[in-house]
Amino acid sequence: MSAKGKAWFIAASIAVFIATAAVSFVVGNYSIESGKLVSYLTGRGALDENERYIIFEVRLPRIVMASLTGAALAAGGVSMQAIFRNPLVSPFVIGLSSGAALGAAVGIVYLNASVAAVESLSFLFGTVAVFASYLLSGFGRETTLLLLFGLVATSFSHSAIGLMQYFADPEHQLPALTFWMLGGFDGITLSSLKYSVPVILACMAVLYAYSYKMNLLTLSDAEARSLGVNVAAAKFVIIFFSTLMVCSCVSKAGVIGWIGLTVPHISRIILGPDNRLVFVSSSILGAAFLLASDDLARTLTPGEIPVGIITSAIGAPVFAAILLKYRKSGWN
Amino acid sequence: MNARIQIENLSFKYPSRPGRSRSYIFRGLSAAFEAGSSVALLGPNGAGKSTLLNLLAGHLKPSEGRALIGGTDISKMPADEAAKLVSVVPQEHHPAFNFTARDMILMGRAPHNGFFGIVSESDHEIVVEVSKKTDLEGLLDNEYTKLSGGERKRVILARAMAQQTPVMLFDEPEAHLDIRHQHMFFKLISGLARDENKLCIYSVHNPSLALRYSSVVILMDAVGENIIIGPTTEVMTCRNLETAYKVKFGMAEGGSMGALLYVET
Repeated sequence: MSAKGKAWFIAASIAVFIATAAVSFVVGNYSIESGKLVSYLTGRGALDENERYIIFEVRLPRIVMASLTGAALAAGGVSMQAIFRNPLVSPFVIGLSSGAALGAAVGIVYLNASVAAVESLSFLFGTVAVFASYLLSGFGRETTLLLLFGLVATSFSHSAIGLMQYFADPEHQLPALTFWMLGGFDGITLSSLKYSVPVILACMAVLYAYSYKMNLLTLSDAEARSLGVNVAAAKFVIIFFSTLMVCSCVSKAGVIGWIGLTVPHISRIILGPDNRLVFVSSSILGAAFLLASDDLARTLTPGEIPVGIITSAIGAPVFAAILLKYRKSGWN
Repeated sequence: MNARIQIENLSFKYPSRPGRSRSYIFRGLSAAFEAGSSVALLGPNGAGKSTLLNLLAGHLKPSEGRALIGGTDISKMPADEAAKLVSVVPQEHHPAFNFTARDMILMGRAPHNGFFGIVSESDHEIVVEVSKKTDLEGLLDNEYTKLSGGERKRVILARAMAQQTPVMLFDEPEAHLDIRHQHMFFKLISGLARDENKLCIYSVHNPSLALRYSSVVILMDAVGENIIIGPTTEVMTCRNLETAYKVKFGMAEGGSMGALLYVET
């Protein structure tokens, strides 16, 4: 694709995202006519108190968090794929999601499922799982070791989660834990976004600044070094900020699968492998994809479906379609 | 920047190599290599050729002694500064992402293009220039992973040339190349040394290639105890090669081809 075509593609993705966000304000179980919202925003009409509450206190924070989470998961996927030189890893590859789930389980089972406890524990356990893998592997020097220690952290967390599920109260705790692990944006308030929004945006900015170094890191450690990259420092920065970013989202929204894997892949098929473009495009598409999935999650049934179910239901077949394409053309 | 490399009392041992009888790969190595030299690094498998190249590239830290490039210890140089002085042509590899040949060559400009790798018009001119020299002009927009082994090797050479460093290191440049491309490759390397006053150092398995294209030879034996460094014509004698490789060599004189080495059976 030409440089102009790539610019058009990114512009089109932004348009899709804006359209999805606009639709997200008006769809939902409490129906608000789009005309009414438009005339309110242009100062020609009014909304009643209920409608204002729904739009600004319920839907706005939800839209902000779903967009940022989608962007962060996709951008985290791009970053980890560069570190592992593998287009098939997700941002959860070194233990983040299972560590975070273990933290959430502790909060739900032992601390009365208080929101603050679940959030802070899942953030803490998620980051600890990643940095334990990172330190045990000798600061990520050997990528294979890092991957394997990530596997160890994942398995260990899963056995602890299993134990807690076994002893959890099946009436209240077990469903809460299950719902958390499938991900969702219900109950997100504007005030709860005060810290996570700036943290996520700052991490994303740092990672984007490293997107060219990511290109060089995909070659090999030795080549990246001989092309001028301080490999150990670059790996640390990328792992640190992507963990901080993804954990900030997971601790609020639970584990949402497939975005970190599928969205960067689609971006690469269209834009080529340059991470300076793939990072931007994946963030925008990830935001649009998760936002649309969340719209489905809250409209498909009178209640609410965990959004992770929707992203897997869409992401897995899309990924299968990509794989079928490779079956014809060969992997490389 | 002066391309001179000076190694002083250089020793290297790997931290732990179970089953290896020798602790040091080599010990107390001292020598100097001047700009404009084409240096062949010869020796049997496991002699320590790659280790020495990695030390000169700054990828490994010496156990004792130091390697100086233009007066500065390479192992203490930050990666971005070292990349302006030394480029490396590694052995063949398969990257996971499908960059084009042009993308790969442009990465050679990374040390000059700042944090975000913004390329300028002159970078594109450099790519065209080095791709002409490496016979890649028609292949620039092909995916690197879909090129043949020999083409990939030339792309990596072109990338190192685009890096425009005074010192260039090559790890077994003849591997995976047919005999015509081997000679093309070595002609290019010795041209870079002769015409652009670069210091080129390469490990090589075929002594005939070293004999024909190098001006200086480093001949290592299997245990790192007997390392001979000197002008090619002085080092490349049948007796020295026999000591290093433990096979019998013969030498035939032949026209413009120069001396041809062969192994006596």
